[in-house]
Amino acid sequence: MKRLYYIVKKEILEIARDYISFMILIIMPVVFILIMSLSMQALFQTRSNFKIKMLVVDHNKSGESKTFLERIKKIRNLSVTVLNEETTNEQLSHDMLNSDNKFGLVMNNTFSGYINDLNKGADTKPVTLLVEPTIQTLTALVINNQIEMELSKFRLNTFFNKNAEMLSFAGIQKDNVIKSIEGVIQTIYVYKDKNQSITPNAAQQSVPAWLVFSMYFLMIPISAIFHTEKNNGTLLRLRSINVKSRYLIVGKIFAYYIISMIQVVCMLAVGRYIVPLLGGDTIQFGNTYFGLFLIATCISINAISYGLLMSVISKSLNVATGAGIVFIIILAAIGGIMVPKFVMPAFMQNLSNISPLSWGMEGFLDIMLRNGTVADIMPECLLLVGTGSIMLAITGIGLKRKIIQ
Amino acid sequence: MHKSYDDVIALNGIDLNIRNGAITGLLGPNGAGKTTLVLILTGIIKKNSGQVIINGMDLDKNLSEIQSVIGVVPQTLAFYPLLTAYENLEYFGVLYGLQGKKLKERIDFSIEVASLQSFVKKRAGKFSGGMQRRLNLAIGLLNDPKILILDEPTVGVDAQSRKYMLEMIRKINLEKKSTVIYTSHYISEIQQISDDVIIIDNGNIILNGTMDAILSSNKALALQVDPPDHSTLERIKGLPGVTCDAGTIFIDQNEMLYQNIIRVITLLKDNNIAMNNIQYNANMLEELYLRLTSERLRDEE
Repeated sequence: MKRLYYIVKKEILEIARDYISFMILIIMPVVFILIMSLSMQALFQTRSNFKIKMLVVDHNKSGESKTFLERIKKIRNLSVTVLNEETTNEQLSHDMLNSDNKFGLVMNNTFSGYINDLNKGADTKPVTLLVEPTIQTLTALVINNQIEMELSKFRLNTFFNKNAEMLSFAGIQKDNVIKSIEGVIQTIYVYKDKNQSITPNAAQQSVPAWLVFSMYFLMIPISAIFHTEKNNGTLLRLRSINVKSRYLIVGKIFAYYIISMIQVVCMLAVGRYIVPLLGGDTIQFGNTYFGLFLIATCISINAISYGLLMSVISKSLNVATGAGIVFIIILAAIGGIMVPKFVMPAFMQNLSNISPLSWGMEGFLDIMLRNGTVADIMPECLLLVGTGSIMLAITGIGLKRKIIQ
Repeated sequence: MHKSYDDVIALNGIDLNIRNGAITGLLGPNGAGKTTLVLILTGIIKKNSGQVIINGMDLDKNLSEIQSVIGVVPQTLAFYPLLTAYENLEYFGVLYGLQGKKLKERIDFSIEVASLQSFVKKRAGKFSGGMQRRLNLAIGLLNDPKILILDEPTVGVDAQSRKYMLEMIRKINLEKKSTVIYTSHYISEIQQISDDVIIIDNGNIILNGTMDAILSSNKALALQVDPPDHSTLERIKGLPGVTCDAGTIFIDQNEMLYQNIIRVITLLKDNNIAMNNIQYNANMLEELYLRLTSERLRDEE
């Protein structure tokens, strides 16, 4: 046990004193989490909490325009900020481009005339919609249609109010007509897996994603230390002392497991406490801390095994880190680390199931997002530990050969 | 003992004894088989056939017992640069199976031998080349080895560190009665430190004996002269126990030594051939080594 303790201690001391490893394992993922959590908030705000910011200017200054403004404010997916009535289109554009407001709405002087007179056509241009050009075409179309719809309803409502008696005489009830054009479409979302339907916010996606990613980057210090040991003859020296390969492997696994758990604690703390401080979304840890610990442990075993395997099968440090990192990045891209799985097309979502990083990511999301239990993450845990064990077995065989080479 | 790597024969049926308590210098060109021999003796790699007996124990049957009495100093700096000298010694000491008071005693001894007392808390990677070599040696001494195997331990160090290390190795050999196997490319080092010499080439032992016997049985004297004319050269070569190679005349150590010295000097004087240098036993081992292993460059093979 004492031998094992010193092997673990040596590995930890080496990493702790290697500032590049520290940067890669702790600083890099923290920076990624902060950047992604804060910059991707809008992208991840889907469905119920989807809000688009809009600036509004009322040049018309009429009762009709004020009423319409109130109606606009009630549209669920819009967050409206009203500017001074004297704001010109140029000033409005400037304000839009220097803020998060993607749309600008101007109620022109013709607005009240258009509302009150059904004979007036679209050529009067009662409303102008300014669109920030980077906005998706689909989003611009939706907002345009929402404004048009609201405008039509408001115009119809005004017409009914003016002609209520006549219409009542004809058997037409205003309220019934208005209600009949609202909510006529029933929307049903269709999921392949109902459990997967809950989508994460930016922090819920970024924290586990970059945590898993950084855990696989353990392969860099693992390879660096292993190849240094191999090249400077330390492995030979250890073999001449009769230190068995299994001692070295187990010692390294323990050491890197401790480091990966430090990564887990740091990243989750950043997601829980730092990201909200900077205005981002927060994350929840779910209902089972043991589940969280279990999935983190399984990812750690898989990541360490991967690092050891790459170290042993590669001829040099450059090959180990070069090929190893490229492989991680590909698996991360496939596995929904860089691009969330829910925005991927169906075949890519199926493909992502081959990536261990995806297994780890889904395990975290099961616990943190879907309030899953230990039973829910067992498939991911088994896959991670199973493939990790295979990689470790190959490492054990390869290490003996490598020492002699 | 045989050892081959795929089609390459590293050791071609060698058979040798290494004297207990002696310093044995192991010489040979690159790729001669020295490192393979060292790796087999330390149990790091396995031989294809043959038997190795160390301290009366069969290497195949008593590997861990044998490894516990062997100290290895590899030619590479086999320690951790990010750890301090003390942390390195403690780490390897524990792996040698030392603990408690014994561990501390051995660490202190090794630090003293390597003269690193003032630097134990400094990271090994920040040491000078000489200090790193001394730390490398110190680690090999941790288990108080009865057999110390040093593979080119002084590569790249300054003259002072080299002299210090050779003195320490000799001191340990004398005080602890340790058997030392010392490989080096520095023939002068081998000549200076070794009691016995083994020259190995192409996987074969081509010379094995005590340093005294090797030096005394060969060239006692080397005279560097201006190139002699043909007739003088023939007359010199005709003397028993005298050979001539370009501008150097070698006189063997035998009962005719003094007579031959007088005859050669007389011949040189009579023919007005200038004598530029006289060496007594100085580069004899090197001359012998080059003659036995041939002078061609091995890197080109």
